[in-house]
Amino acid sequence: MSEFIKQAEQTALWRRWRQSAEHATEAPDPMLLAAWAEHRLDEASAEAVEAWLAFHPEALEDALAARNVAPPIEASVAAIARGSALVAQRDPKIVPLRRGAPAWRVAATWTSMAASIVIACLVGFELGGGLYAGVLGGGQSDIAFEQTLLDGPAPLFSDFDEEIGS
Amino acid sequence: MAEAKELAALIAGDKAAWDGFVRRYAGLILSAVRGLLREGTEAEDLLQEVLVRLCKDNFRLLKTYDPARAGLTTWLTIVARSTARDLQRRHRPAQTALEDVPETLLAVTDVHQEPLKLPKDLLSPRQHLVLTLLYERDLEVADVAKILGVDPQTVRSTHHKAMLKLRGHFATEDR
Repeated sequence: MSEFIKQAEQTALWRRWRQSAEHATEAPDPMLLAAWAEHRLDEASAEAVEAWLAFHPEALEDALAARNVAPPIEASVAAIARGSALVAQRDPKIVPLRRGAPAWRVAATWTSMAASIVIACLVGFELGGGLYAGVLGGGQSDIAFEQTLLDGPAPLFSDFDEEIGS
Repeated sequence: MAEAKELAALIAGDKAAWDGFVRRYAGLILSAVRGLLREGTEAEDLLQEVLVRLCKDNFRLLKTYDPARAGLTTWLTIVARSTARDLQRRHRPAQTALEDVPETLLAVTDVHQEPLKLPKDLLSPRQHLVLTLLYERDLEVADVAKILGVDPQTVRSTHHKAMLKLRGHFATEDR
């Protein structure tokens, strides 16, 4: 640590402030952080980034590391092959699937489906009505039959009784 | 210029451009994440993770790169390191079981503490960052000046003003 900030009082003041200061919350995106690392931000934007960096030492470390990029490490052939395979070759012979039909076609499909359902319902109603009428007719004949059963006996033996009495 | 053209081709889905990008920047990504590796993590797995992040959702992240605002190597280093840190956070070791914690550590002391009343804008972000770099990263004034792109005298003056503010604030609070 440099000489001029070594005073214990100053360090204590800083620690006391650090422990209780409020944290800024909005994290800058990598582009903004990279621009800050390269001193390409205006004062206001730089201040916003610095307010966040003051409480996020890891991000500060990343920005500083980005400023002094270390020499590259050679990647293995397998690692490069794995990375390359993440993006597939586009074959011009393969026509990509159409992702969505035009709006008029979608509307026509739904309209024809709705019309089919309505027609099916109407036909069903018509057929259902005819059958019901048939059933209703049968019901009427049953009622007539029951009425016949409930009627009193036919006057078949009444003459016979009169003859015995006489 | 050539880099911008290549990136445009890459984003448009040119496989050869992607292959070239991987070959050119794999080493840089590996170098950027060195030192952030957890035990049991392979650097090349991390490289793959960064590349996945770059090309995910039709190169959504790569499309945010703007050559007018920063160099590609700077931006890639930040993306690579933040990916490594995200992975570290995701793979944090499991918490210790409650039974394994000594009872003395679980004891709660009922001490009433007054909330601190700190003015939010007491220090400017620049002052705060200068103090962070000086006191937490133990950097020299010259290094801080280099990081912030200012004169060393500006750093000294910023530090001095910040200390005056802190001294004044805590003196009032302690009274």
